Amino acid sequence: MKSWFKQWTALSILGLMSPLFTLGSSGSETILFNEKVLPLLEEYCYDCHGDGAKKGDFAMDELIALGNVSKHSEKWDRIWKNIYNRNMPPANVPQPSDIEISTILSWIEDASFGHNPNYYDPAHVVLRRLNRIEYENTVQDLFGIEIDVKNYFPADDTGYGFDTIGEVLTLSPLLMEKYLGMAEIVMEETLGPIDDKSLRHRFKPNDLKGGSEQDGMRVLASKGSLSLTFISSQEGQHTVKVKATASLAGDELAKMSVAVNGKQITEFSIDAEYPNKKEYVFTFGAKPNFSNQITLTFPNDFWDPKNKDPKRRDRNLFVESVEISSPEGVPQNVIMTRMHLLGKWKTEEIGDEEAKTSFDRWLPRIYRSPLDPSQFERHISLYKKMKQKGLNTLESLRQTFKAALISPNFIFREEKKLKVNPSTQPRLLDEYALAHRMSYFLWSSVPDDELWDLATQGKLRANLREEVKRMIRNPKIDQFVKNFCGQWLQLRDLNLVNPNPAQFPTFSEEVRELMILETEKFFKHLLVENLPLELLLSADFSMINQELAKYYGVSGDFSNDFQKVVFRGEDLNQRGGLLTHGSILTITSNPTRTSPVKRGKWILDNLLAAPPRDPPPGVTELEEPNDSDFKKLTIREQMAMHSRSPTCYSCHASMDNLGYALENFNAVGKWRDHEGGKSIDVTGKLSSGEKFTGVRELQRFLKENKKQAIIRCLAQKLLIYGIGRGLNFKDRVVVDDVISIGKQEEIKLADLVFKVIQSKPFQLSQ
Amino acid sequence: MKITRRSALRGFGVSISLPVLESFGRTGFSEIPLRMGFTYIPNGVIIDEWRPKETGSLGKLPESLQPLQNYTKDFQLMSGLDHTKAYANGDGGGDHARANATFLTGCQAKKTAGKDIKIGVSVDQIAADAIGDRTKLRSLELSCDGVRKSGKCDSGYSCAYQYNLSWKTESMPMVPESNPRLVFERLFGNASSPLDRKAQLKRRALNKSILDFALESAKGFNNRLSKMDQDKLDEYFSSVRELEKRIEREEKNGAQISYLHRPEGIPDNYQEHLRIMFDMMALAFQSDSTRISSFLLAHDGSNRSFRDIGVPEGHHSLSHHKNDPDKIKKLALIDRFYSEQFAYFMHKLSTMKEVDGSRLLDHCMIVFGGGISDGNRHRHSDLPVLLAGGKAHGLANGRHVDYGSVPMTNLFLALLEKFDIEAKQFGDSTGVLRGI
Repeated sequence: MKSWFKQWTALSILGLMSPLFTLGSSGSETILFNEKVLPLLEEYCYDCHGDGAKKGDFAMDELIALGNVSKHSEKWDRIWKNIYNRNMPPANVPQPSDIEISTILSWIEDASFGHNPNYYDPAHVVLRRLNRIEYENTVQDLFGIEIDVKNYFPADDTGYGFDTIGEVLTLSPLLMEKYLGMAEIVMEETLGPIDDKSLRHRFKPNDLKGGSEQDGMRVLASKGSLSLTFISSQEGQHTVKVKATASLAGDELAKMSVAVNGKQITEFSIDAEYPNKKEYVFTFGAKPNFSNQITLTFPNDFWDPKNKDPKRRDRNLFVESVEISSPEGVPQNVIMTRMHLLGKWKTEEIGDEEAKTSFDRWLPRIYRSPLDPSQFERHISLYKKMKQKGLNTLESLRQTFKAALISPNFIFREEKKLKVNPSTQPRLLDEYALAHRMSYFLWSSVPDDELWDLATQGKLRANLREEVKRMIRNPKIDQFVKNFCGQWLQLRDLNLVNPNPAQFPTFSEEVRELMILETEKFFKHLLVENLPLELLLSADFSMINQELAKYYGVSGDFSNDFQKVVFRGEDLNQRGGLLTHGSILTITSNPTRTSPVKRGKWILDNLLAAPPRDPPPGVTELEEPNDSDFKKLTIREQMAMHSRSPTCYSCHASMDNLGYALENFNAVGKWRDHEGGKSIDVTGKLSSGEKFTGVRELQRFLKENKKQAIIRCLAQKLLIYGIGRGLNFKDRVVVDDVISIGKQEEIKLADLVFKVIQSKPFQLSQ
Repeated sequence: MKITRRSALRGFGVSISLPVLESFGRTGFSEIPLRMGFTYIPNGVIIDEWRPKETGSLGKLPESLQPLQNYTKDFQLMSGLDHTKAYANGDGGGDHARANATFLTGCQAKKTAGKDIKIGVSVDQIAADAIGDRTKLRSLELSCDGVRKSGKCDSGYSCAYQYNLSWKTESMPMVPESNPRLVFERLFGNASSPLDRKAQLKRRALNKSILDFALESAKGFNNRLSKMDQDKLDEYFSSVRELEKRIEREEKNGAQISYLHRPEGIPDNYQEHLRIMFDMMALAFQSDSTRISSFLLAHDGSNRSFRDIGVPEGHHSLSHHKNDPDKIKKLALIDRFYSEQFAYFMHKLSTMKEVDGSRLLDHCMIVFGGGISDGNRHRHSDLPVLLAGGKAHGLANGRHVDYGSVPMTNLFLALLEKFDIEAKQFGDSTGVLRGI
């Protein structure tokens, strides 16, 4: 009777809002809603949001009664998000199954967003410019140089947690300026100095160690030395010019004794009287790629404060600058880079023919796609124009490549579509674009020759699996590990935290580095060995070295190199799995104490993709209480008092309880059994009644009960990072598809990465 | 936009760098340019320790502003300035991102983690559009945050909102520079590879032709793009044109200041970092390399700790003090720390002399303030605001005025007015703040 009544009401509601389901003329949507969807909403939502209940000022039955679902899509969107992120229904009430969730979500997508599930719309990926890491890797790989770009460009903005999102990668005038400057630097590194003239390195007072600064010079007022470090790239005789002066006192001139790499070379008597300067010249032989220490010593200080002439009282040595000229000719590193770019290195052998061949070979690589003839011609004519201006071949080449490096075709990653069957939408990316999506995804750089050649032959898709495997085994995969984990797991933030050294004296800069390496190497191990994802939490091993083992208090013999260590006995209670990594435990702490809230939030955000709802505006974020007696309580006891506040409870219960289980780790990831003399309670209890004690049980709980959520989360993050946009409801089915690798068998990391590359949003373009 | 006497200056071929400045001032006091600067304090302040309760002329300052006591004749304090667009207004959490984004724009940030970021043009960029072409750099943006936080920023807002003060368009922030050495090189050239004047001119000519080439490439590129991507390419066009103009402006001067010391990279110590960035702003003003600058001392929500002054806790987590006296005390120490650094800047500006002997400070209007008044409750009304300098332009310093409750943007309109830039309305402004 009741169910008949409900059906009737539902029908009558739907009847009232006849224009509601504009999609279906047959009324099949009505029946679907009626028979499949409404009962689920009633069962899972109406306790709080229906039949008179209006929790959070929201009644679902009232929304349904409004009809015209597409007109209220904003409200339905919120419902969709809450269900998709598993924020609703809350954990303390019965949960819908994945299939039931899917039923509700696809109905909303259809009725409210007008989504046709049979047609996948890959959504527009806004033109992405290279971020500063990609730029650095790209020019290094293209030109075979080593160069620091990252610290020259301003920071890239991030969106959806990553710095690969076209929409927020803006191009400010400042950056344009830097592109021009960097193009110059890149080409100077690659082709060497103009006309093979010797390179001059100038050291200013600032660049010299020792003495003090006065009047824009470095001064030695008493016995002592000035020193500088010069890295020679070339072999041969280097000429050094020291611009110096000295004040006169006593009966001899100031001396300047010169030593290179500890060996004395010569000694000058400084006959230029202050403030007149003079150049003192000497030479020394250098090896290529060698760090030379040059020392200028002032051995004969003299001071006579009683001299009648105040100008004759003090003998000091002043140095204004040191200029080092490398020998003439092409330096060794430039020989290599010229060979790479031009196939020849001797300046006189490089002519128009070499220039043309080089453009032919490298411009497509720079622009990530073959050039059409007119485009190519434009470059040739720029080159010719440069020569007409009187520039020599190398200079003209340099300017033409510079022009390429500031062109939008280089700075932005245009993704072309396959030229077959242009009427079908969406279309597959062409193989060049696919190759670049893959290489920027896995290497943060351009394709290597092998990948490029596959794209040229149109055989990339046919060999996709082998190619992905090969790319993962390539050392450049470190870039993916660094950049993806750096942002997904927030490892980059470890460089921003500053634990209080008074409380945590063992946390050193070295430990900071090692912690990041541990997590990176651990992730890389799972990836390269293609191990099951669940090991992220359940691994009984980690990658550590001697220093980190000592820091963690893990027993055994270790070396300075990182190695895979399987934990045993007591060690196993404390270590193994991401949530025992010092990196993550430290990132999620405050400078002076742990923060169960932040730790819980980190798990929800980054592992479960179920971010807690934003704190209400005006109310403090991650609010933690403080009363005068509080300091005597453990963090947990303080938190518990706070969570009594009903406005905060519902969200905090989910975050804090996850964090409590990690309280055995202090704010810098070290194990502790006590806090302030009290033993620590590490049980966490979710509102659904599930309990876990300590990190091992928490990790087991997550692994067993949240398996799907974790895999889904990782798939989402990989997609966002790889394709460069946020996900929307249209991607739900895609994500489900990506993570559906064999329900029975375990999902492995490299397989998941492959599935992401294989997925529609990665392969298609709007 | 109306430009008065200053537009005449361009006709004289006014040179920009320091040494030439000497000759520049001889024509008289009135032609010394006016500058504007904005410096941002994160996470609000303990207002009772920061601003005196009484209005009127400034006497003894509260503890947090003590470092500025010697300068009371050179600044004014303002109460009752609001940024109502920094409140949620239906957008939920994210007050830090909003405070930061609204500060110079007076607009409501569109809540998005990436897609369609949108806010509004900031006051400094309105000024730069009007007068930026008179100097080598249109404007100069500085920050001490060289890297972005990874993961989510603030409650669903893209990090772009939280790390940029200055917005050239609704969707394009002017990304700040945090490395003092790079700022210096932008201002005065790269001193380590000195080029003679002829070589410089040659390089500029070449750069101009390759920029032309790149613009030509962009046109071809543009034809293939969709509407959304064309917006992206518009950024490219406008930035390239900006660069071309800049190169032209450089040609008119080009002298390098070789006797100034090029700073090394980013100092480890925060105080040193702040001070050297303040040095850069002062140098930029003094050399008339730009007349407009903004400086994000730290992004809002920053959890930096201040061990040197006995505050090892994170600033943001402390700022939610819940009236704990101990925390309030520590927060006031941080506020005082920022005041000390600002005092350093004021000292610098007051010791730098213009050609007529007047102080550089008198030709600058510097706002020192933040987008949150009470960090504990994320209030965006009655913000902490100090306006320094501007004596030569009649700013009524030495007092504390309570404006009741008016938009902060009204103050910005008043600053624009001092530049003879007519902007009737901007952000949420309701009129020009009178009597500053």
